[in-house]
Amino acid sequence: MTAGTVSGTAAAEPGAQAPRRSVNFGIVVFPGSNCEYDAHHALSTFPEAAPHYLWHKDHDLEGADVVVLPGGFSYGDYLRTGAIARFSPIMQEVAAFARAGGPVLGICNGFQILAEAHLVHGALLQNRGLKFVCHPQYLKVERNDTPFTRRFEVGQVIQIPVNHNEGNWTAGSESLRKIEEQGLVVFRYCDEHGNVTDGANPNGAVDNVAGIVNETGNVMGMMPHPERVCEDQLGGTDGRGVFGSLIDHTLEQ
Amino acid sequence: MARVAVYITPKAGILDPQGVTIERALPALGFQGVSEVRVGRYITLEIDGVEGDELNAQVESMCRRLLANPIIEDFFVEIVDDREYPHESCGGSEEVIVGEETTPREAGEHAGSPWTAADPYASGQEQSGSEAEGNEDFEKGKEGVITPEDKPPRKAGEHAGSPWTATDPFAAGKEEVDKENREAGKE
Repeated sequence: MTAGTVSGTAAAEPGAQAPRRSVNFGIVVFPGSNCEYDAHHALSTFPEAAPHYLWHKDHDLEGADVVVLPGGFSYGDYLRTGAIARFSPIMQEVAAFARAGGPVLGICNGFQILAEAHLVHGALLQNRGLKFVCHPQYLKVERNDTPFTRRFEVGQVIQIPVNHNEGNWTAGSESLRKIEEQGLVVFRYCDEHGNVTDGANPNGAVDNVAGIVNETGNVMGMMPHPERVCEDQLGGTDGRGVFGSLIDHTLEQ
Repeated sequence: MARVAVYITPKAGILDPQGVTIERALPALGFQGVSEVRVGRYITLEIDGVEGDELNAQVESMCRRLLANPIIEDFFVEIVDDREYPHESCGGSEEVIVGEETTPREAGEHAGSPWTAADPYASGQEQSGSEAEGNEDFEKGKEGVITPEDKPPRKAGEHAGSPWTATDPFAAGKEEVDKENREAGKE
């Protein structure tokens, strides 16, 4: 099943105006979020996407088909990154939405929030070397059977920037074994040839993990910022694969 | 009323880059033979209306659910009942003395210490005492209070056009560390 077939089907649907229906992206805004505009802008470049903001104090996802937790410094990263945001009122709805199989994408700080909320495995420590990392980063795609990666090929090398201080993903040895057994890792840091090496690891994350999904595959946390590479003028379009996959997935439902 | 102290440390086996950095810095000050430096967090709080087992259970629950992340951190709790230990004695006078001792010493030794320039945490300390420091350190101290409006031009390379640098107070703090890291590392 390829992206072309799916979007082709959607476009060929008779009657409706242009796309069959728009995909409603709810972008959750926490105090201290700062990538919600980037996510909104990136999504607005997709004709099928209808992005809107969700305030963290609300208890309503406003009919979102996909929930996005954007990057930033929610609650000033107090205590631990994501630790306070995880208790925001809307996170109850996000968790229920995730349990019901709804796709939830956590980017950077959003990944940290998902980890703190135990919606994905592990935790994110301060970067090895104590350096804030901010640069384009090669990633190896490990899975393309998730709602987030169907427009990619397995083994494909893509480039998406990282921009974080706490991206050093880790998990206990027992859960790490289960995570690898179940193939929950979606993206790994790699070099331009796709070699997953320690030298290509920007933050010390265990097994070069850059993005993982939960067991049911509908919640993904990733440290790199796909919303920043959705237009050629901004240095790349590899991020489109992530949002495009979510659109394909939703339109197919 | 109970006074509670919670000590949170990185779990054994979890990389603690702050601890490693401090461990490397101590020999530069002449402290030899130091190992196993781990940096944690110390939280104090007071709880009214519960006691005994219920209090213990409540504190443990708040540690597991919020104060610590059991995946990466261990915690240790001390509960002190105010009826047995009045306010004045809580905290212990020793800690105050340590603080008084270290403040003047830091001012003198940090000035010529070789690692202050590269260490983001060291520069954080200098913000408070920047006026007494040498030129180079004073410059760093100034950066700590630069207003967010000054940020975009300085960040031209990597964050150009980013809408949030100008307004986000948290981002400003992060970027300061970022910038210093890059200065120390690459430039």
